[in-house]
Amino acid sequence: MAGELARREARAGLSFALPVLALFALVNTTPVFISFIYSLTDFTLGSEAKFVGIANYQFLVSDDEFLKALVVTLKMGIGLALPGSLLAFLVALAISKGSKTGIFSTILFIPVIYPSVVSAFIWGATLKGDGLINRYLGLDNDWLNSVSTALPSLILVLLWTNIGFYVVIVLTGLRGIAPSLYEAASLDGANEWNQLRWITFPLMKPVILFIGIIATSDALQIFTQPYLLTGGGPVESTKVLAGLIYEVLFERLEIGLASSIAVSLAIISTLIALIQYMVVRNKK
Amino acid sequence: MTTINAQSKMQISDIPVKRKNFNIYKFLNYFFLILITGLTAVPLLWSWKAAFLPSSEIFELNLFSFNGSWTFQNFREGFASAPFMTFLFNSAVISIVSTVIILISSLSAGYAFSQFRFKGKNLLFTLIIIALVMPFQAIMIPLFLGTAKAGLINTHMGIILPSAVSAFGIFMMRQFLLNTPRDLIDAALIDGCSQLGVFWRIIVPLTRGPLATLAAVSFLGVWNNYLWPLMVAQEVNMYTLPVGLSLLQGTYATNYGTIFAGSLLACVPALLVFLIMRRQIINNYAMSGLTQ
Repeated sequence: MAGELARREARAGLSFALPVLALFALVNTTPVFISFIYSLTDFTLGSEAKFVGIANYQFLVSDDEFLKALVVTLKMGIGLALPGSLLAFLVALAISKGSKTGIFSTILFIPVIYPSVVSAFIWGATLKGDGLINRYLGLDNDWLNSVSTALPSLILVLLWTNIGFYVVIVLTGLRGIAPSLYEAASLDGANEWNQLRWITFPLMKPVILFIGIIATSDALQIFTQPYLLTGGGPVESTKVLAGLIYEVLFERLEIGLASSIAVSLAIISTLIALIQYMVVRNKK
Repeated sequence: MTTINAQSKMQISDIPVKRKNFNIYKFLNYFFLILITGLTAVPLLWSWKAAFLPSSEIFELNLFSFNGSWTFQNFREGFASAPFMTFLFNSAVISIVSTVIILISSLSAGYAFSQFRFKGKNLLFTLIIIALVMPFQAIMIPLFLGTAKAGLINTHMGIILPSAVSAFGIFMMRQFLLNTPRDLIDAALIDGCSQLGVFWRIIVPLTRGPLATLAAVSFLGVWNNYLWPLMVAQEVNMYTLPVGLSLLQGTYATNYGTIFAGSLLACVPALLVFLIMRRQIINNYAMSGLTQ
């Protein structure tokens, strides 16, 4: 009798789960494995694929183009993480001290939900030679076309896009600090600065570290802004991993090699997610 | 009576006295906030303004001046000579259909994972968790070749399929339904309700809140998506707004008016969804990072 009930429950559960999981396996799980298999071949569109073992990966570790894209991606991640977490902390602190209405975080959040293509248009028009920035700063710099400013400009665009998200995360963290801590400190005679220095800051350290991690993992997947604003140039100074994969895939049609870059990217992403998991668990 | 009145009057007149004097820190605080939100908002406001200005004036008119020759010409041009209508239609169909399928599939799988015991459940759920952290690049190449093999390149179906299931949605619905008392479902089953009946009459109404949030977040994700539609939509008749606009930029290189008119079309639905569901969307983003 109990066995029959359990069987009936399992059948009902499976009938809710299976159709979804079948679709999920088709468009999500299976492709991960196929990516890995492709990465072990020299599959190029229009020719027979041959199994080549880890040759693609051996090629990548000494390939200047891949290594450069990896460095650019990490630079972008760090360039986003450091100013991003600091600015998010300051803004969140100012919001939590001043405003209860949510108007500031709402406005700051709009770029997060904005179509990335539209953000790219806006910033393309802002940063171009005869664009807004030059006109208002009285400069004559082609921000997106010079090697020294292209990457910082892209980082600025991404900072503008993501800052609202980071602020919201810090705000959640700030709200999690028990008010009794501040009350106790102020009874003991600690002024605002000391409370900030000895309560808020130590408790927020993991949250700021956390933002650093998500900024880096964001950078790993960034495609739209470099693709539309710089096309990876000038002289590949803004070519990120996601852009390199797209290029190897659609311009050179080297599916095997593109897959090995994609798998490398997935491995780095997974490592970052593991670090993120450990940071969050430590915090709790 | 009169004493009470006098008392309450006194209290009211007390308030301004108790109010803090002008505070320099408070002032700096607000100054900083207004500066940062201003810097964030100005590029957006400027692009909205640009949609209604002739291309020749977009860069000439002062940033804060509203003294331009306002016009709908950019929109007229966009609908007449550029296929804005087609882009809008494709974006709408793809986003709405994807969102509906995400809702049904996430709730269905989330329900199964939270309320039922069956063999392999933990293993299957682990696959969902892994997918949660996988970058799109990890699946995009086989997905593209598979879509091509299935003859779905340049079809709505081909664009919709990969975005129609969401690991995040399944995870979110499972988390929510874990707190549902099992008795509620058992009682309905004992009363003769079918499994599907329980799903529609109990689970769906119960999860209305999280479903609305998931709908908003999913709609935004699909509506704004660029890379996958760029790969699959290969002819103008299948372009979504982001893809169509980005490729127009090449051909209409100098015509910023049309580009910004199209951009406004692309951002209005996103903004509307955001403004209606602001609190839920922001909370969802704040939590999605911390619950992984």
